[in-house]
Amino acid sequence: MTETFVIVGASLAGGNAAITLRQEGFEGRVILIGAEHNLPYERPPLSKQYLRGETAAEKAFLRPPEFYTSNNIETRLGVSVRRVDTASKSVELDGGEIIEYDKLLITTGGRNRHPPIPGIDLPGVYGLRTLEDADAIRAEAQPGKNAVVVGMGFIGSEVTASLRTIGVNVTVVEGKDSPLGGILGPEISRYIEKVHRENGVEMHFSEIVSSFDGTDHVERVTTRGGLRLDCDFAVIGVGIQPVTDIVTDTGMKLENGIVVDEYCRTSIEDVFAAGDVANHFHPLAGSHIRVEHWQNAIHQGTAAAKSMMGRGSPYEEIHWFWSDQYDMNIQYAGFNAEADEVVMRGNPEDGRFISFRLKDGVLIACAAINRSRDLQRSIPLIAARKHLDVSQLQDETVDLRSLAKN
Amino acid sequence: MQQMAFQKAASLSDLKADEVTGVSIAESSVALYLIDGQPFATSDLCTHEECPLSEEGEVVGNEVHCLCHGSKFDIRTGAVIDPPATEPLPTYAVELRGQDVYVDLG
Repeated sequence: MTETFVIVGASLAGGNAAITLRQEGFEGRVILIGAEHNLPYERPPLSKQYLRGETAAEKAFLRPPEFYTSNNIETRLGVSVRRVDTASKSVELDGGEIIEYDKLLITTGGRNRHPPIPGIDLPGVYGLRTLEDADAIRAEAQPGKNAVVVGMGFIGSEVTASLRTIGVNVTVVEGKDSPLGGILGPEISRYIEKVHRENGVEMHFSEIVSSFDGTDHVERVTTRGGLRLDCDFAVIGVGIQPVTDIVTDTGMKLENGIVVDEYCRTSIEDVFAAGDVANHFHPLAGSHIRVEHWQNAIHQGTAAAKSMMGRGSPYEEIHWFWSDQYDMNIQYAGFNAEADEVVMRGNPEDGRFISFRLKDGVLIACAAINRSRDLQRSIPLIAARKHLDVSQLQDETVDLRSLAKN
Repeated sequence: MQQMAFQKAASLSDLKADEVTGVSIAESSVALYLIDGQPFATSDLCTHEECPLSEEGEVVGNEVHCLCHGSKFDIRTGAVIDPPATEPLPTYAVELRGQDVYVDLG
């Protein structure tokens, strides 16, 4: 009996799940449905090399079109799913078509937050999530133009660095008091702020946009604090919300996205979720977390596919992400929990350092600028959850790999 | 009969297990490895965004991991084990002549 596995959401998690199903030898029907008109592609280049015009769109695609046809992965692109009927095990597409499934994977990701700010829908005010968004920004981003970037999280800070690199003048408005919202710790975010400043970026922290002003196109951004920032265009990066509309009336457990266990299973049998949309139970954290990282989309999409085939293992990935801004390769690994002790290896003045964040003597996370080797070597230490001698973490002569051996 | 163009890359004693050693051969950046006493050679540039593996790479068993963005390759074949890289790492023929490591860039 041929089984049909349906994947709703054809981006990184969904695409990788489809690829994994075939790599693992699944011989049933694989139907990959996506609202975007593109085959699966990865988003990191959109705020970096693609935005700067350094690479072609083709490089962002997971696989070329022939891959899907030769591996019998049916794709339905530019199609939205109207709703999922878990009782009859089917999905209804916009337009009315019904597709039945034996197992369903939801990888619908997130949509950009669109706060109700007056003028936010003016031409020239952009969000960034899709290739089309990146193309629209690229068209406006000419050297000498003035841009306001709203939000200095990962998207905002990467877009800022890319725009500066191609000669656009950038002013940032951020509601928190530092870039990257406290995720990386003050040592790292202060350094990042300094590098942006050295690159000529004007930053306004603890400021909130009250309106985008202009007649046919945005001309100015006004803040609650009274700043009036003239601009040629604006980019907003203030976070995403998980996309769960298609399952809201199924009774599925939803909280900060779709709640899943360590096998990517939702509360409804034969329905799985992975990627940005999945609030997943993490065995090492002992709680549910939802992350919006590239690595998680890939690995969790793969994990969900294996679970669908009945050969899954607990997903215990130590979450890791990177961000490239100017000459900085910024990396972070671990859990976003409150640290009670932070020690460093290396010096900010040297432009390469790593901060170790501990709680009760156990390493919970690290953040690094241009010290990816030490960060990667620290990941097994985070997974091991053992007490560590902080002086060995700080000592440059100690190979971090040796601390993992017992 | 075509002569294979092996060129001396390094001494065996220059290579260490679990390390990537970068050398320049005829202006090409080459990465050398030592696995179970055997030398191997690949391009030094990760096929994702050309981060130099001799600076940003980590050897784990038979794999080289590019630490910039996480790509992983099999040192012996150049095959991609983990994205974001999708293209295999070019590999080069290696000959050990005495204590000297010779590489043919092909």
